[in-house]
Amino acid sequence: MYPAEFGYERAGSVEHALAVLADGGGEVKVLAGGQSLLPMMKLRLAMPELLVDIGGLAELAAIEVKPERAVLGAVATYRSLQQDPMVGEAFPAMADALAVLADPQVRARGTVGGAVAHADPAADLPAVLLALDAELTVAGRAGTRTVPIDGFLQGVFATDLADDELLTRITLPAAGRGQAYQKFEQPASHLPLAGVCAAVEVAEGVISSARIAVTGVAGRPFRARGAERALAGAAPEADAIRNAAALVREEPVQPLQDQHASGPFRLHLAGVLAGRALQRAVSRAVRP
Amino acid sequence: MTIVGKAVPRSEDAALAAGQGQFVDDLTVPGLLHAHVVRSPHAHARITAIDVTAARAAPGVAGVFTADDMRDVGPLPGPPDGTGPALPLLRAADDRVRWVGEPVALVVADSPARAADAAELVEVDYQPLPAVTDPVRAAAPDAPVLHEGLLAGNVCFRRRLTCGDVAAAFAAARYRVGQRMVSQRLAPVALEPRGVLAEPAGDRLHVRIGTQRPHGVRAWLSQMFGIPAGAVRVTAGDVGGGFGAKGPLYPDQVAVIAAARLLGRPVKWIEERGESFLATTHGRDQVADLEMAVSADGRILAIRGTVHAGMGAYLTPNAASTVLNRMAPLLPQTYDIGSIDVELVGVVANTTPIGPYRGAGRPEAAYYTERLVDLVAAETGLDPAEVRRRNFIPPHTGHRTCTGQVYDSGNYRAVLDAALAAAGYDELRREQQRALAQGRMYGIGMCCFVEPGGIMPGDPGDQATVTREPSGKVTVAVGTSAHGQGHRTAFAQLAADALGVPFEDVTVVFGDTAAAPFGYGTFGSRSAVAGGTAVVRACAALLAGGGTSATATAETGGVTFASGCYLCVVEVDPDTGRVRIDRVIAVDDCGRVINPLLVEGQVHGGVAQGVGQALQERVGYNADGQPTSASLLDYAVPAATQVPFVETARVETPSPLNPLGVKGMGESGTIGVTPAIVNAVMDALRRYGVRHLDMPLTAEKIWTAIQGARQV
Repeated sequence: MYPAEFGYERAGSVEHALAVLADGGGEVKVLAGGQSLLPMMKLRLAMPELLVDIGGLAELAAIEVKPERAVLGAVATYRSLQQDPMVGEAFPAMADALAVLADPQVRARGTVGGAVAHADPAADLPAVLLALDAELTVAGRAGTRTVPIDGFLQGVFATDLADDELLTRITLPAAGRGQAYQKFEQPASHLPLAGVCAAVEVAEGVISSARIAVTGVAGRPFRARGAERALAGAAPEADAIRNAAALVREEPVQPLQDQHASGPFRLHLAGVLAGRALQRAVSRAVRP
Repeated sequence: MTIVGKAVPRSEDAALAAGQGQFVDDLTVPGLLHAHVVRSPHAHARITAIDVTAARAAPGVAGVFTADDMRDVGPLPGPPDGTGPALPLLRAADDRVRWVGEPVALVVADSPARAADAAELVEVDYQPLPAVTDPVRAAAPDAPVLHEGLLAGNVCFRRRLTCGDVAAAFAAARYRVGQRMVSQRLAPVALEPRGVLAEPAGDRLHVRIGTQRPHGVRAWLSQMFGIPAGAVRVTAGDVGGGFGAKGPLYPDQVAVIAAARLLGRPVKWIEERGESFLATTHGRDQVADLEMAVSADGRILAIRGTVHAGMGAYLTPNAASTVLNRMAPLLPQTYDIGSIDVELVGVVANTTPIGPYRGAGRPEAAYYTERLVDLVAAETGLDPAEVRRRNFIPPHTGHRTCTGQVYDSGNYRAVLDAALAAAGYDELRREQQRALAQGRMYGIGMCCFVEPGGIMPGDPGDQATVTREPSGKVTVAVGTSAHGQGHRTAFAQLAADALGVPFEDVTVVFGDTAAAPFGYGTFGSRSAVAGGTAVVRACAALLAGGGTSATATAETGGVTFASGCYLCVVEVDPDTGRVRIDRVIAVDDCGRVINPLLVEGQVHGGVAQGVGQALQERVGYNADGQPTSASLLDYAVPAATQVPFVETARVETPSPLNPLGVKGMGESGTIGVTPAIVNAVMDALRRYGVRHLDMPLTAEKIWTAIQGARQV
């Protein structure tokens, strides 16, 4: 567990980090919480020449929850999100996910931006952010740009982020309380074999909108659009939920397959979890 | 007696919990060098060339070693004659490698990181060969052959255990109940991986090593290096779990010690977690095809069949004995079964060598017999508890099984009844009927078993030395060697009572050949019997002799047979196939109890490991022989949240074989809970037409089986 030799530079600012990245010619990795990168380096699966450490940048650690939107700094840790009562209040699905995500040690160091930028296909939080329509702010030397998370996540460990760019913040539009995250763990890693986040709005006795995001099942978290369409306008009841859950299994994705679970089983689990997440989301939505 | 039998908290824990343990990796000495092992990345390959030039020239490197540099080192302790090939130390050009992780070369440098860097510069040219990893497939005539000159292909031994008249029993049987059952390959995963720090000083050698057998290591090193045992000191220090895997001495450890001697400098090597999955012995890896002959009234008349036992690529000293001398003779378990005929086939394959792993043959035997007994219950329509009752050996103080095992004492009916009473069995069955009516998948399973312990591998037995210090306090030095069991506490209790001194005034010393008298170490649930007997005998000798110190040797009357009955209640989620264990009732009869807290600790730890085998652990390999489970991300050791609460109770049938009346019980949790869980899950699935599934009972396996049944 000894990484290959590497250089280390602590970033004093976003501009500083961007300068280091620009000079590095692709051999620089961004270190935030280090909960994925450092194990990969110790196994010598990653051998960057230089790390630029943004974990200490206070400007990227802030969590700001307002009525119209929330802004999460990229290096806000899971624990800081979990301990912020405003986050749990505004985004119950995020509280669900944080409660079943990794262990206390990892939550103390792992960051929300790291989870997104690393793009592990079996990460919990990206599904929640996808269901909540998160928008990502990306800084580059030429300035900043914003990109919806659905466009950012591209595949297994692959994102829209260029070598010289930095994910700086995640913006969530306000959402109702009708949301929930459900997960079925791979028993060794405790990562989801399937994880589903459902977010529904219920108005005048019908589901006015539904967003369902699935992680662990395909190369990247995906929205179950067929199920979402079927729910729109439906009564928030068991039949509609069962129907939607079945549609989740019909999504045209290439399911992951490994020694822990076959593709069909992962898709099956996604359907089961979608039903459970929708059930909980609806009950939260209609609770007085 | 005042303190023996009391739940005295472990004296060990305060220091360990405070991080004050002294494990091998906590140690350093001046001028220390660090080793890194270059391992085979192939399951099976011929080495065409090894070039260490670049590695030798790398910064900080003190030496790079292959088999060519260690020709003077004698062979590792091998398996009994005629059972299979022993492990080599390292490899050289023209040698073959036979499993992923086999040690090829050793790099020694002035820091662990530099040793790891230089190891990447060792150039080994491999010519890959076809590989085989499954023991049954490896025994097939068309399998790639690992070694020349074995019995047939990869079959390294083939023995038969027979007693009684099996043919007549099967001819007379009303029912025949057979099943192929796999006890899958497991990794022990001790919290502390293996390690060694070798410190040569002229002709003398001090080795600090995480081992269960310090005196054994001293004898082996003396033999391998051709130096007197008196010139070798072996210190175990604190050892973070062994589960059998820290019993053998390994090629990588010996290579490190040999390198230290060649360099004339101290060298340390600490196994990485990923290495541990490849290089530390695995357990189990058996495929049993067994059949029971059963009379019309549910009496088990005979067991027959074949067990294929994977040995890994080479044989460690105890691998063959696990199946030949542990598993097979224990097939009668708690039952009066008069006829046995099993063929035991040892098979080498391109896998990590097998070694003893918690239970070492005992859990396999209990699993096969207790699964079959539940299948007998299903076949005859009798309640599983009733089948057991009809077949138990009556209460006894001496019973010889037809396989030649001499049980010292036992009351198996009382143990079962205690488990049923603690569980509220009749009410559980009623609850099951209600649950089934609601469409819930609710199952109850049990396992009754025996556990041989207190094994004395040689003569003389383990020793203990008890010394009255000038201060009036007492030091007990003993030849067994704890690695988590709590001997400091238990043996201090024994000495305190025997000498009439306060418990706090007794210090227990072990695990250092310079400080402790001879002993075989700690494995196979032997230490309470062997070490405990030695301690009380030494105390008696001290009182009788009137001096300041006395040494005594354990003389015990033989192997003790603890017994137990474990009962589990499970519920399966029909939507996902996931098993939830609702209750575990563990009833153990280990004779007299020195410290109930230590017994409970053994039960809890054993249950955790048994849950692992039943539900989630499995060492896997792909078609090329590459391991698919060589990290904690992929190998599912149960986490705290995955281990159920354990309700314990005890029955006490003292052993007549030792003065304490104790019986070894260190593996009971692992032996008892695994079949109980599987029986419970199968009880839940029976209504879906599922007869048997192999472990681990993963959600997908169960879900798939239910789907199949629903489609019928």
